Amino acid sequence: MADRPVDPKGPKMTIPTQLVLRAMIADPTKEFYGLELGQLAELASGTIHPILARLEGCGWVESRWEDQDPREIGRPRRRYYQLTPGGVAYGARALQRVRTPAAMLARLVPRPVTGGGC
Amino acid sequence: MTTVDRPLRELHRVLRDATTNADGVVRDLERSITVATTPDEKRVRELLSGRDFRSEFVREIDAVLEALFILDTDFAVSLSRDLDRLLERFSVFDAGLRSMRGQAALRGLVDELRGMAGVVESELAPLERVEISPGVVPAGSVDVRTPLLVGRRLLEDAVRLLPVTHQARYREEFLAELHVLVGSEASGWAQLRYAVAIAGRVWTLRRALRVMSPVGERVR
Repeated sequence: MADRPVDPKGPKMTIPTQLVLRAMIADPTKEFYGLELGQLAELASGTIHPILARLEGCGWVESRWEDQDPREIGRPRRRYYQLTPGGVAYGARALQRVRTPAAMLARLVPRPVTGGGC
Repeated sequence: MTTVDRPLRELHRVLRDATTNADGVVRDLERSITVATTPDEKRVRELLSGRDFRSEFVREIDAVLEALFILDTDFAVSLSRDLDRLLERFSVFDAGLRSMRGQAALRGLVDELRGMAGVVESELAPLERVEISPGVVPAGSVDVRTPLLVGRRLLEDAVRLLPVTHQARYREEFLAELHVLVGSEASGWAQLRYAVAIAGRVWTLRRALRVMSPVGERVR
Protein backbone atom coordinates (compact mmCIF):
# COMPACT_ATOMS: atom_id res chain seq x y z
CA MET A 1 0.00 0.00 0.00
CA ALA A 2 1.50 3.29 -1.00
CA ASP A 3 1.13 6.01 1.62
CA ARG A 4 -0.83 9.01 0.51
CA PRO A 5 -0.81 12.34 2.30
CA VAL A 6 -3.98 12.77 4.35
CA ASP A 7 -6.19 15.66 3.37
CA PRO A 8 -7.97 16.90 6.53
CA LYS A 9 -10.78 18.41 4.49
CA GLY A 10 -11.59 15.15 2.81
CA PRO A 11 -14.13 14.65 0.04
CA LYS A 12 -17.46 16.41 -0.29
CA MET A 13 -19.76 14.98 2.39
CA THR A 14 -22.54 13.72 0.16
CA ILE A 15 -25.12 11.46 1.75
CA PRO A 16 -23.68 8.29 0.16
CA THR A 17 -20.21 9.31 1.39
CA GLN A 18 -21.59 9.75 4.90
CA LEU A 19 -23.19 6.31 4.72
CA VAL A 20 -19.90 4.71 3.69
CA LEU A 21 -17.95 6.52 6.39
CA ARG A 22 -20.47 5.58 9.06
CA ALA A 23 -20.28 1.93 8.05
CA MET A 24 -16.48 1.94 8.14
CA ILE A 25 -16.13 3.93 11.35
CA ALA A 26 -18.50 1.52 13.08
CA ASP A 27 -15.65 -0.99 12.80
CA PRO A 28 -12.58 1.12 12.04
CA THR A 29 -10.02 -1.67 12.00
CA LYS A 30 -12.00 -3.99 9.77
CA GLU A 31 -11.16 -4.44 6.12
CA PHE A 32 -14.10 -4.43 3.73
CA TYR A 33 -14.41 -5.30 0.07
CA GLY A 34 -16.52 -3.02 -2.08
CA LEU A 35 -19.61 -5.16 -2.49
CA GLU A 36 -19.69 -5.92 1.23
CA LEU A 37 -19.36 -2.27 2.13
CA GLY A 38 -22.07 -1.32 -0.35
CA GLN A 39 -24.44 -3.78 1.29
CA LEU A 40 -23.60 -2.49 4.76
CA ALA A 41 -24.14 1.11 3.70
CA GLU A 42 -27.19 0.10 1.65
CA LEU A 43 -25.81 1.66 -1.49
CA ALA A 44 -26.16 0.49 -5.06
CA SER A 45 -23.21 -1.45 -6.45
CA GLY A 46 -22.01 1.23 -8.83
CA THR A 47 -22.06 3.94 -6.18
CA ILE A 48 -19.55 2.53 -3.75
CA HIS A 49 -16.36 2.44 -5.82
CA PRO A 50 -16.31 6.12 -6.82
CA ILE A 51 -16.73 7.03 -3.14
CA LEU A 52 -13.94 4.69 -2.10
CA ALA A 53 -11.71 6.12 -4.83
CA ARG A 54 -12.30 9.63 -3.49
CA LEU A 55 -11.70 8.58 0.10
CA GLU A 56 -8.54 6.82 -0.99
CA GLY A 57 -7.45 9.88 -2.93
CA CYS A 58 -7.83 11.93 0.26
CA GLY A 59 -5.78 9.45 2.25
CA TRP A 60 -8.73 8.56 4.47
CA VAL A 61 -8.90 5.03 3.15
CA GLU A 62 -6.21 2.63 1.99
CA SER A 63 -6.64 -0.55 0.02
CA ARG A 64 -4.78 -3.75 -0.65
CA TRP A 65 -5.29 -6.97 -2.54
CA GLU A 66 -6.49 -10.04 -0.75
CA ASP A 67 -3.46 -12.06 0.25
CA GLN A 68 -4.39 -15.17 -1.73
CA ASP A 69 -3.28 -16.74 -4.95
CA PRO A 70 -6.20 -16.55 -7.42
CA ARG A 71 -5.25 -19.96 -8.80
CA GLU A 72 -5.54 -21.53 -5.39
CA ILE A 73 -8.84 -19.93 -4.41
CA GLY A 74 -10.34 -20.29 -7.86
CA ARG A 75 -11.40 -16.69 -8.32
CA PRO A 76 -9.90 -13.22 -8.73
CA ARG A 77 -8.57 -11.51 -5.61
CA ARG A 78 -10.78 -9.14 -3.69
CA ARG A 79 -9.67 -5.60 -3.03
CA TYR A 80 -9.92 -4.73 0.66
CA TYR A 81 -10.46 -1.22 1.99
CA GLN A 82 -9.70 0.07 5.46
CA LEU A 83 -9.76 3.47 7.13
CA THR A 84 -6.37 5.02 7.79
CA PRO A 85 -5.77 6.49 11.26
CA GLY A 86 -6.21 9.93 9.71
CA GLY A 87 -9.38 8.76 8.01
CA VAL A 88 -10.84 7.60 11.32
CA ALA A 89 -10.10 10.92 13.01
CA TYR A 90 -11.05 13.27 10.19
CA GLY A 91 -13.98 11.11 9.11
CA ALA A 92 -15.51 11.13 12.59
CA ARG A 93 -15.13 14.90 12.77
CA ALA A 94 -16.63 15.37 9.34
CA LEU A 95 -19.64 13.24 10.26
CA GLN A 96 -20.17 15.26 13.41
CA ARG A 97 -20.09 18.45 11.39
CA VAL A 98 -22.71 17.39 8.86
CA ARG A 99 -25.14 16.45 11.63
CA THR A 100 -27.33 14.33 9.42
CA PRO A 101 -29.14 11.86 11.69
CA ALA A 102 -28.23 8.29 10.84
CA ALA A 103 -31.90 7.35 10.81
CA MET A 104 -32.56 9.99 8.20
CA LEU A 105 -29.63 8.77 6.12
CA ALA A 106 -31.02 5.29 6.11
CA ARG A 107 -34.31 6.49 4.71
CA LEU A 108 -32.83 8.52 1.90
CA VAL A 109 -32.36 7.02 -1.49
CA PRO A 110 -28.74 7.53 -2.49
CA ARG A 111 -28.03 9.33 -5.70
CA PRO A 112 -24.94 9.14 -7.91
CA VAL A 113 -22.08 11.13 -6.47
CA THR A 114 -20.79 14.11 -8.40
CA GLY A 115 -18.08 16.61 -7.71
CA GLY A 116 -16.24 16.43 -4.42
CA GLY A 117 -12.91 17.46 -3.04
CA CYS A 118 -9.47 15.86 -3.02
CA MET B 1 -25.22 -7.08 -33.01
CA THR B 2 -23.87 -4.29 -35.13
CA THR B 3 -24.47 -0.97 -33.47
CA VAL B 4 -21.41 1.12 -34.05
CA ASP B 5 -22.83 2.85 -37.12
CA ARG B 6 -26.19 3.64 -35.62
CA PRO B 7 -26.88 7.14 -34.37
CA LEU B 8 -26.70 7.34 -30.61
CA ARG B 9 -30.07 8.96 -30.23
CA GLU B 10 -31.64 6.14 -32.17
CA LEU B 11 -30.11 3.67 -29.74
CA HIS B 12 -31.44 5.62 -26.84
CA ARG B 13 -34.89 5.42 -28.38
CA VAL B 14 -34.50 1.67 -28.81
CA LEU B 15 -33.77 1.32 -25.12
CA ARG B 16 -36.75 3.40 -24.11
CA ASP B 17 -38.99 1.30 -26.34
CA ALA B 18 -37.56 -1.83 -24.80
CA THR B 19 -38.35 -0.51 -21.35
CA THR B 20 -41.92 0.25 -22.35
CA ASN B 21 -42.34 -3.20 -23.88
CA ALA B 22 -40.85 -4.82 -20.82
CA ASP B 23 -43.47 -3.07 -18.72
CA GLY B 24 -46.16 -4.96 -20.63
CA VAL B 25 -44.39 -8.29 -20.34
CA VAL B 26 -43.85 -7.92 -16.65
CA ARG B 27 -47.34 -6.62 -15.98
CA ASP B 28 -48.74 -9.82 -17.47
CA LEU B 29 -46.28 -11.86 -15.49
CA GLU B 30 -47.25 -10.07 -12.28
CA ARG B 31 -50.90 -10.83 -12.97
CA SER B 32 -50.05 -14.46 -13.50
CA ILE B 33 -48.09 -14.55 -10.25
CA THR B 34 -51.02 -13.09 -8.35
CA VAL B 35 -53.32 -15.69 -9.79
CA ALA B 36 -50.74 -18.42 -9.22
CA THR B 37 -50.87 -17.88 -5.50
CA THR B 38 -54.56 -18.76 -5.60
CA PRO B 39 -53.59 -21.25 -7.14
CA ASP B 40 -55.67 -21.62 -10.25
CA GLU B 41 -53.53 -23.43 -12.76
CA LYS B 42 -56.06 -23.12 -15.50
CA ARG B 43 -56.18 -19.35 -15.17
CA VAL B 44 -52.39 -19.07 -15.08
CA ARG B 45 -52.10 -21.11 -18.24
CA GLU B 46 -54.65 -18.88 -19.95
CA LEU B 47 -52.64 -15.82 -19.03
CA LEU B 48 -49.38 -17.22 -20.24
CA SER B 49 -50.56 -19.03 -23.33
CA GLY B 50 -50.99 -15.88 -25.36
CA ARG B 51 -47.44 -14.70 -24.99
CA ASP B 52 -44.06 -15.90 -26.06
CA PHE B 53 -42.06 -14.88 -23.02
CA ARG B 54 -38.89 -16.38 -24.31
CA SER B 55 -38.63 -14.31 -27.47
CA GLU B 56 -39.80 -11.17 -25.67
CA PHE B 57 -37.17 -11.44 -22.99
CA VAL B 58 -34.47 -12.21 -25.50
CA ARG B 59 -35.47 -9.18 -27.54
CA GLU B 60 -35.59 -6.82 -24.58
CA ILE B 61 -32.28 -7.95 -23.18
CA ASP B 62 -30.73 -7.74 -26.59
CA ALA B 63 -31.81 -4.10 -26.73
CA VAL B 64 -30.22 -3.51 -23.34
CA LEU B 65 -26.92 -4.95 -24.50
CA GLU B 66 -27.10 -3.04 -27.72
CA ALA B 67 -27.46 0.17 -25.80
CA LEU B 68 -24.61 -0.68 -23.47
CA PHE B 69 -22.21 -0.90 -26.37
CA ILE B 70 -22.27 2.87 -26.58
CA LEU B 71 -21.17 3.40 -23.02
CA ASP B 72 -18.35 5.59 -24.23
CA THR B 73 -20.78 8.42 -24.91
CA ASP B 74 -22.38 11.11 -22.81
CA PHE B 75 -25.58 9.08 -22.80
CA ALA B 76 -24.11 6.57 -20.41
CA VAL B 77 -25.67 8.02 -17.27
CA SER B 78 -29.19 8.37 -18.62
CA LEU B 79 -28.94 4.96 -20.24
CA SER B 80 -27.93 3.40 -17.00
CA ARG B 81 -31.01 4.77 -15.29
CA ASP B 82 -33.19 3.24 -17.97
CA LEU B 83 -31.31 -0.02 -17.65
CA ASP B 84 -31.75 -0.09 -13.91
CA ARG B 85 -35.45 0.40 -14.42
CA LEU B 86 -35.67 -2.28 -17.06
CA LEU B 87 -33.71 -4.81 -15.05
CA GLU B 88 -35.77 -4.04 -11.99
CA ARG B 89 -38.76 -5.20 -13.97
CA PHE B 90 -37.00 -8.36 -15.01
CA SER B 91 -36.44 -9.11 -11.35
CA VAL B 92 -40.15 -9.78 -11.19
CA PHE B 93 -39.37 -12.82 -13.28
CA ASP B 94 -37.29 -14.16 -10.41
CA ALA B 95 -40.00 -13.28 -7.94
CA GLY B 96 -42.49 -15.18 -10.06
CA LEU B 97 -40.39 -18.30 -9.98
CA ARG B 98 -39.95 -18.07 -6.23
CA SER B 99 -43.61 -17.53 -5.49
CA MET B 100 -44.69 -20.46 -7.62
CA ARG B 101 -41.99 -22.81 -6.36
CA GLY B 102 -43.28 -25.64 -4.26
CA GLN B 103 -46.80 -25.62 -5.63
CA ALA B 104 -47.19 -29.10 -7.02
CA ALA B 105 -50.09 -28.17 -9.27
CA LEU B 106 -47.96 -25.55 -10.97
CA ARG B 107 -44.73 -27.49 -11.21
CA GLY B 108 -44.93 -27.78 -14.98
CA LEU B 109 -45.44 -24.07 -15.36
CA VAL B 110 -42.54 -23.23 -13.07
CA ASP B 111 -40.30 -25.55 -15.06
CA GLU B 112 -41.43 -23.84 -18.21
CA LEU B 113 -40.55 -20.38 -16.86
CA ARG B 114 -37.23 -21.60 -15.57
CA GLY B 115 -36.49 -23.05 -18.99
CA MET B 116 -37.21 -19.69 -20.55
CA ALA B 117 -34.71 -18.01 -18.27
CA GLY B 118 -32.15 -20.61 -19.24
CA VAL B 119 -32.79 -20.04 -22.90
CA VAL B 120 -32.34 -16.30 -22.52
CA GLU B 121 -28.99 -16.80 -20.84
CA SER B 122 -27.80 -19.39 -23.33
CA GLU B 123 -28.77 -17.19 -26.26
CA LEU B 124 -26.77 -14.36 -24.77
CA ALA B 125 -23.72 -16.56 -24.24
CA PRO B 126 -22.34 -16.44 -27.80
CA LEU B 127 -22.01 -12.68 -27.43
CA GLU B 128 -19.25 -13.22 -24.96
CA ARG B 129 -15.60 -12.90 -25.85
CA VAL B 130 -13.35 -15.63 -24.56
CA GLU B 131 -10.84 -14.38 -22.01
CA ILE B 132 -11.47 -11.18 -20.10
CA SER B 133 -9.29 -11.19 -17.04
CA PRO B 134 -5.87 -12.29 -15.88
CA GLY B 135 -7.64 -13.59 -12.81
CA VAL B 136 -9.96 -15.91 -14.69
CA VAL B 137 -10.23 -19.29 -13.06
CA PRO B 138 -8.27 -21.94 -14.93
CA ALA B 139 -9.94 -25.24 -15.72
CA GLY B 140 -9.69 -27.82 -12.98
CA SER B 141 -9.16 -25.31 -10.20
CA VAL B 142 -10.97 -25.11 -6.88
CA ASP B 143 -14.04 -23.09 -7.75
CA VAL B 144 -15.60 -24.10 -11.04
CA ARG B 145 -18.55 -21.74 -10.70
CA THR B 146 -18.22 -18.78 -13.02
CA PRO B 147 -20.28 -15.61 -13.30
CA LEU B 148 -22.84 -15.09 -16.00
CA LEU B 149 -20.98 -14.51 -19.25
CA VAL B 150 -22.87 -11.42 -20.22
CA GLY B 151 -22.19 -9.86 -16.82
CA ARG B 152 -18.47 -10.34 -17.28
CA ARG B 153 -18.67 -8.79 -20.69
CA LEU B 154 -20.46 -5.72 -19.39
CA LEU B 155 -17.84 -5.26 -16.70
CA GLU B 156 -15.05 -5.61 -19.22
CA ASP B 157 -16.64 -2.97 -21.46
CA ALA B 158 -17.07 -0.66 -18.49
CA VAL B 159 -13.49 -1.06 -17.27
CA ARG B 160 -12.16 -0.02 -20.65
CA LEU B 161 -13.56 3.44 -20.01
CA LEU B 162 -11.39 3.92 -16.94
CA PRO B 163 -7.93 5.47 -17.06
CA VAL B 164 -5.54 2.88 -18.45
CA THR B 165 -3.46 2.76 -15.28
CA HIS B 166 -6.52 1.72 -13.25
CA GLN B 167 -8.07 -0.80 -15.63
CA ALA B 168 -6.28 -3.93 -14.44
CA ARG B 169 -7.10 -3.20 -10.81
CA TYR B 170 -10.79 -2.60 -11.34
CA ARG B 171 -11.13 -5.46 -13.84
CA GLU B 172 -9.98 -7.88 -11.16
CA GLU B 173 -11.84 -6.12 -8.35
CA PHE B 174 -15.21 -6.10 -10.13
CA LEU B 175 -14.83 -9.64 -11.36
CA ALA B 176 -13.99 -10.77 -7.83
CA GLU B 177 -17.21 -9.16 -6.59
CA LEU B 178 -19.16 -10.87 -9.34
CA HIS B 179 -17.70 -14.12 -8.03
CA VAL B 180 -18.94 -13.18 -4.56
CA LEU B 181 -22.45 -12.97 -5.97
CA VAL B 182 -22.04 -16.33 -7.68
CA GLY B 183 -20.79 -17.82 -4.43
CA SER B 184 -23.86 -16.51 -2.63
CA GLU B 185 -26.11 -18.24 -5.17
CA ALA B 186 -27.23 -14.93 -6.68
CA SER B 187 -29.40 -15.36 -9.75
CA GLY B 188 -28.22 -14.50 -13.23
CA TRP B 189 -30.42 -11.44 -13.10
CA ALA B 190 -28.77 -10.26 -9.88
CA GLN B 191 -25.37 -10.64 -11.51
CA LEU B 192 -26.52 -8.75 -14.56
CA ARG B 193 -27.94 -6.01 -12.36
CA TYR B 194 -24.60 -5.71 -10.54
CA ALA B 195 -22.72 -5.42 -13.83
CA VAL B 196 -25.14 -2.83 -15.16
CA ALA B 197 -24.88 -0.81 -11.96
CA ILE B 198 -21.09 -0.77 -12.23
CA ALA B 199 -21.20 0.08 -15.92
CA GLY B 200 -23.74 2.81 -15.38
CA ARG B 201 -21.57 4.64 -12.86
CA VAL B 202 -18.25 4.08 -14.55
CA TRP B 203 -18.03 7.73 -15.56
CA THR B 204 -18.34 8.78 -11.94
CA LEU B 205 -15.56 6.40 -11.03
CA ARG B 206 -13.48 7.69 -13.89
CA ARG B 207 -13.88 11.27 -12.63
CA ALA B 208 -12.91 10.21 -9.12
CA LEU B 209 -9.84 8.39 -10.39
CA ARG B 210 -8.73 11.33 -12.50
CA VAL B 211 -8.74 13.49 -9.38
CA MET B 212 -6.73 11.00 -7.37
CA SER B 213 -4.26 10.19 -10.15
CA PRO B 214 -0.70 11.44 -9.73
CA VAL B 215 -0.01 14.81 -11.30
CA GLY B 216 0.96 14.51 -14.91
CA GLU B 217 -0.71 11.16 -15.49
CA ARG B 218 -2.46 11.12 -18.79
CA VAL B 219 -6.00 9.84 -18.90
CA ARG B 220 -7.08 8.12 -22.05
